[in-house]
Amino acid sequence: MRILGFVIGETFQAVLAAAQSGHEGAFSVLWRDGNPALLRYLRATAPEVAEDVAADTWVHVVRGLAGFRGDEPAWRAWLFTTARRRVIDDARYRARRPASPVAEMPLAATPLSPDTADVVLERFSTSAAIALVAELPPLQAEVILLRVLAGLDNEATARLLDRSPGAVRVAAHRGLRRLAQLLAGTGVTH
Amino acid sequence: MLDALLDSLLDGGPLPGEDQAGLQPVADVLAALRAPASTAELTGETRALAEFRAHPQYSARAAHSPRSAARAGQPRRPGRARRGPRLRPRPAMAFAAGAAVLAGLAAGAYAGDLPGPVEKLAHTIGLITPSPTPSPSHTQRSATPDPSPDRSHVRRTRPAHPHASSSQHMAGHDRDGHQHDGQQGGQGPGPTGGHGGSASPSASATPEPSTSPAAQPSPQSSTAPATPRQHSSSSSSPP
Repeated sequence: MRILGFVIGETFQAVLAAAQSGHEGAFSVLWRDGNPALLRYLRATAPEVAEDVAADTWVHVVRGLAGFRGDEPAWRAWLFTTARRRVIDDARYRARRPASPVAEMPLAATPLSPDTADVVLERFSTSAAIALVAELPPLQAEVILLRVLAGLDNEATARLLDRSPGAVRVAAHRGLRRLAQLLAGTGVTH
Repeated sequence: MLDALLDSLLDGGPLPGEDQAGLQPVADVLAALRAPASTAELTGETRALAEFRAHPQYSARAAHSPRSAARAGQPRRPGRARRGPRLRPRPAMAFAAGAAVLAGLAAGAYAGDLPGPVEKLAHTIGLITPSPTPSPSHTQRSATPDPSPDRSHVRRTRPAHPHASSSQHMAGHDRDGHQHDGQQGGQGPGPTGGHGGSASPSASATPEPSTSPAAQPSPQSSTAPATPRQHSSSSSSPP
């Protein structure tokens, strides 16, 4: 099964160079590799604006694409860093203009978060998994999402979140243990 | 032990055969997060491509970079074999015609057969030396260096060709103030710290310096431009 993340692999540098030269097909490769993971991350961290923020993220990526230098892990770190900043900017914008009360709801209480029992019944579909992770405390959820969806290692995740590697590792482990408790609470132990 | 298992889960690794920590459901959740992309997650590609096309930086590069498709891993388009000289027939013919005209003007000037306005034009473009009689066009040639043996005032960075005549030998100073003569192979320090003394004059990358254009009325003068200021940064060997 093709695992989400690092799909480009060894040809990444060639694809990147072609995209920076204006080749649309190469840009499509980058987009198809990055956008699904990006959307899943945003659906867990900013579910009400996930689509808009994802589109805005790619606008910024296009602007900075020509100046990007690095390997594929660096590319993914840059992509998710850009997305994270767009989320923060959107949150600040909404804080200045509280037009919808939904924006002030805690993450775990959004309408998109299903019941844990539903998660079990759906046999861990992607959307159910996203909703389950979104129920974790924000830092734990974000660390797990960046490690799993973005494929970042502990150090890269720590740099992105401006935390120490030790704090990031502790948050990840606590998050996974909490997930295990949530799932055990529903009787799922297989 | 548990921490190692958790790290393995985060890295996408499998759990051991006996899941004593009860982490299989967690592994299933993480596997669901890593599932292949769905159709709904790929619907925004058109919009993203539109942004990409609209960006002036990539649209301009795409217009000037026809080889970008090859870089993306696609097979190269078969190249067309060269059938002859790179110059197309029409520009080559125009060049030859222009050279013939110039040669004719020079010959006529030396023979004194040119009409007045044409002779003035020949003076202006430097085909012939100024006549003994004062002429307004004479002052326009003052920028051209006088082909005399003494060229110490000329700033150079390259030695003259070893086979040059004595009148062409130049003992000058390079831009850094280092004096050198035509027999020395040094090139001065380059941008990366110097490829200096290893290159011989015959292996220098800069073209052979020429004298005044007036001494070389043939079309071949264009292949050896007279540039008193030449950079020493170019090197015969790649960095």
